[in-house]
Amino acid sequence: MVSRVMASLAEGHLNVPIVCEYKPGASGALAFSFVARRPSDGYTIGHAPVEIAIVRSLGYADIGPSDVSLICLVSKTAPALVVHPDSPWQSFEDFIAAAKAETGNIVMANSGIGSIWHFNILLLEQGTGARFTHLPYGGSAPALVSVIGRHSDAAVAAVGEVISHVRAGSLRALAVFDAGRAGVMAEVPTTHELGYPIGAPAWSGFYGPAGMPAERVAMLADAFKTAFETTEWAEFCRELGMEAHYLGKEDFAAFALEQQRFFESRIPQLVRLENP
Amino acid sequence: MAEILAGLSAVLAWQVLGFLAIGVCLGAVFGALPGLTATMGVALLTPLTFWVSPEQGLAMLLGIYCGTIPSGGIPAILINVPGTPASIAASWDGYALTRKGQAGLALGINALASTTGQLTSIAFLAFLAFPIASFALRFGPAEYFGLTLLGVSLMAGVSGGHVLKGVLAGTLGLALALVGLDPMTAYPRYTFGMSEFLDGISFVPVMIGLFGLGEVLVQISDRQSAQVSAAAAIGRVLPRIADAKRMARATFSGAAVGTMVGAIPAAGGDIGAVIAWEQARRTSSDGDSFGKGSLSGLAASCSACNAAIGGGMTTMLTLGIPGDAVSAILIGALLIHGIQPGPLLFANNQAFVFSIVFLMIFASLLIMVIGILGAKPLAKVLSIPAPWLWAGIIVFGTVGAYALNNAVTDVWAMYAAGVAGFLFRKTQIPLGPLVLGLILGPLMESNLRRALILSRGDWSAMLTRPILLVFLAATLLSLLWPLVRARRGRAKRSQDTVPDA
Amino acid sequence: MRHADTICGALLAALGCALIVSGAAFPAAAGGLPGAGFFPQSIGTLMALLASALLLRGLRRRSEGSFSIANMREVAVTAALLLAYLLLWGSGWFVVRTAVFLAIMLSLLGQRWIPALGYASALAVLVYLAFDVGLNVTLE
Repeated sequence: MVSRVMASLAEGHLNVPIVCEYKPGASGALAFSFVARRPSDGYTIGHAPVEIAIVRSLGYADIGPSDVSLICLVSKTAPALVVHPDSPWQSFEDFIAAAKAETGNIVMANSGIGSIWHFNILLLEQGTGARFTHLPYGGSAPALVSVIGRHSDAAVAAVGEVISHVRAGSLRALAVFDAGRAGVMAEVPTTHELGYPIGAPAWSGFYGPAGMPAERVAMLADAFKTAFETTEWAEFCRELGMEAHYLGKEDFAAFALEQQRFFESRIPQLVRLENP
Repeated sequence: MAEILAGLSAVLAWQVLGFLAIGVCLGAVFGALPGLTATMGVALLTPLTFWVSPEQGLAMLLGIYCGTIPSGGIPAILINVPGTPASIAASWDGYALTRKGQAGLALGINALASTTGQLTSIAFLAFLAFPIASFALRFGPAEYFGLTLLGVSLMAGVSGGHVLKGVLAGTLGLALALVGLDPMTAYPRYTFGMSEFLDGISFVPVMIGLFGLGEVLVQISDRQSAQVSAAAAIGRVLPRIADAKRMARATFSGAAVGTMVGAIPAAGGDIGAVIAWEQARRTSSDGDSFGKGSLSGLAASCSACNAAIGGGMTTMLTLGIPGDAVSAILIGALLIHGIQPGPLLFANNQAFVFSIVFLMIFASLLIMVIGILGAKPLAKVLSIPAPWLWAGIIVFGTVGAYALNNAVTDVWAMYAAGVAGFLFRKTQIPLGPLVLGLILGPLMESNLRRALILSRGDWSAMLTRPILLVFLAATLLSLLWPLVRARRGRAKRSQDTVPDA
Repeated sequence: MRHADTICGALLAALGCALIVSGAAFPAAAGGLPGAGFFPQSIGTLMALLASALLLRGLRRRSEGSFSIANMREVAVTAALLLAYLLLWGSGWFVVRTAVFLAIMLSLLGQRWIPALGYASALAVLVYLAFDVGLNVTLE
């Protein structure tokens, strides 16, 4: 979705039509390997979500940000903790206190073991000392449905994924895992404010096969930058609850490597935490 | 009332209706080609809707949604290759009718029953949205497990006389569904170290292979005996009044089943159609004709898989929860246009809800007209020389399997499934249960294990859930029913003849 | 071949046993909950039992599960041609490759060369236009 909209916005500046191919599978591992194997002429590029920094740690594919030519980053999405509106927990502190009071008493739905929102739950456990009963689902949507239907107590998913339910009053957001408040949910406190500096956002960028000529990268980055600055992109991000956030080639590369190091250092530790 | 009129007037503009018609036609093409799914059509065209007004964009997307499923039944009926997973059940009776030289009638029933199913489910959406939505919300892991258990127990019923082989094929389907990451622990199972297998075996290529390529190979092998193309009788399109009356009950109960199953997130028209078909078979006085060209069987499955559309839309609009992949994309499209599905939509923007209702009604009527007028020309496919038709099925099946995920592995899966489908048919192993096992396996496993996590490993705690108990009772009934009937049949026969020693 | 049921039964019983054995190697879950191996083992057990029943039935009533393929040569040739076509997937010249493959298949199925080639080319072009041009699916 991000790439289709971005492609349609950037097309005009490249004078070539952009063709979107969709390659799902294994947290994106299949798509990353596909793009990395293509000729590095700049005509095949990929959409790089946060998973590009994760899949190696999970063992899905031996590929990471340093194996490709990163072009630019265009958006970021923070996770949010949500509960049912009829639940007794009015605030993040209530919730954590209840979770600490009885280990595993609170059932936490996640969007799948190994997904970015699952890591955020594990980070939450690690950061606060609370322990949950984990209920894995195949994606954020069914995980949120299980909270709405009161089959589980809480879930963590992207701000953009929960915002519509929060606005409709079918979920209550307790905290956003970020340093600054989310634009679409400014009334919800952040974990950093509450004294727990945790949170791993999801992000979206673009990349090409390794060894792409610098001028090609620059050309594509320019086109995406122009597209990024359009009002359509800002509006698209706002509607989907994402934060429009631009990083050029060097900044993106540094950021992605830092993210990869973060996941590499945390994943083994977190997985151990889950299976004692 | 004012809202109804406002909703109607918002869509009564020629641009809106024009985009609706474009959507319906595109959907009809997508549905008729195996490998091109409603999900793909809606996903591909969503970006296009940014350049038109929300009503026009929505009209096009709804048109695709409503057009795809009925037209998926067309190849299922004519060449025994379901265009979408939802029309698998339609191929059982539909293709049998074609072989009897009643292709026209089968297409006519498909068009009429599909639209009846859609309109019934739209009526449910318009008048009973909230009760249905709260029913759908009560589906927790234990209830899903009950639903899938009932579905699996139907394997024997869809085996067409070869019960032991059918149930074995079903377990094979369940076993194939194990490939990939374990849904609960993300531990890779039977992937043999290949990342292509981590997400499991994709279902649509397997379906194309089993039914499409497998059918082609069977026809090559049976060439001199079954000259379907030489017969190529089309027959009448519209059913006789008497037939229509006899099908009415199966059609409407199929629509009710389809709406309910469609409303439950993650359960869609494919499961709904099988359940409706089996239910119609069991309650019919003429149950033995099912699978051999029963008009009621075809009507029930066509009606149910289409009613799932309205069911899915109900959950989506009232709760903001996608019922299937198509409505998930539709939610995204609505959000981009600044429309928020959920209970508030019904409270604050009732006119918009009625706009959707009217758009779906128009789309549904349009696809019926297309279906009926197109029946005779489409059935001409049967008079194409058989080898030419086979070439077409093979090339569209291959490219369709590839187009789904742009993955060569899917093409290989299609090929393997094709050869397997051929061998299965030659050894009288029914394919219906295999497909059922593949669809239901992952749902069944993950929800049983979720339910056990919630009950802290206590199996008996699940028995306190009323919906699950209903499903368990229905499952037991469906397992015991054939035994009861067999015993009754045997008792009857032993009266007539002396049992052989 | 008159032992189709027996062979099917034996193969599936072996597969069922393989599922039971391999399921035991999957990691167990904490707290007595069923782990990754629970379903493979349950399905394997069910399959092994049912397959044994089929095996026994096949041994007892040999005549029932008879299996024969008419036109074996044409089926095998079609399957082999398709296999060759898939092995060449992605090697470029999609339209030409597809047209040639279809034309050979049609002529081996008893169609005359010239119309077969014409039809095969038309079909290949149509598929290319519909999928590559129309739906942005890269066919090469």
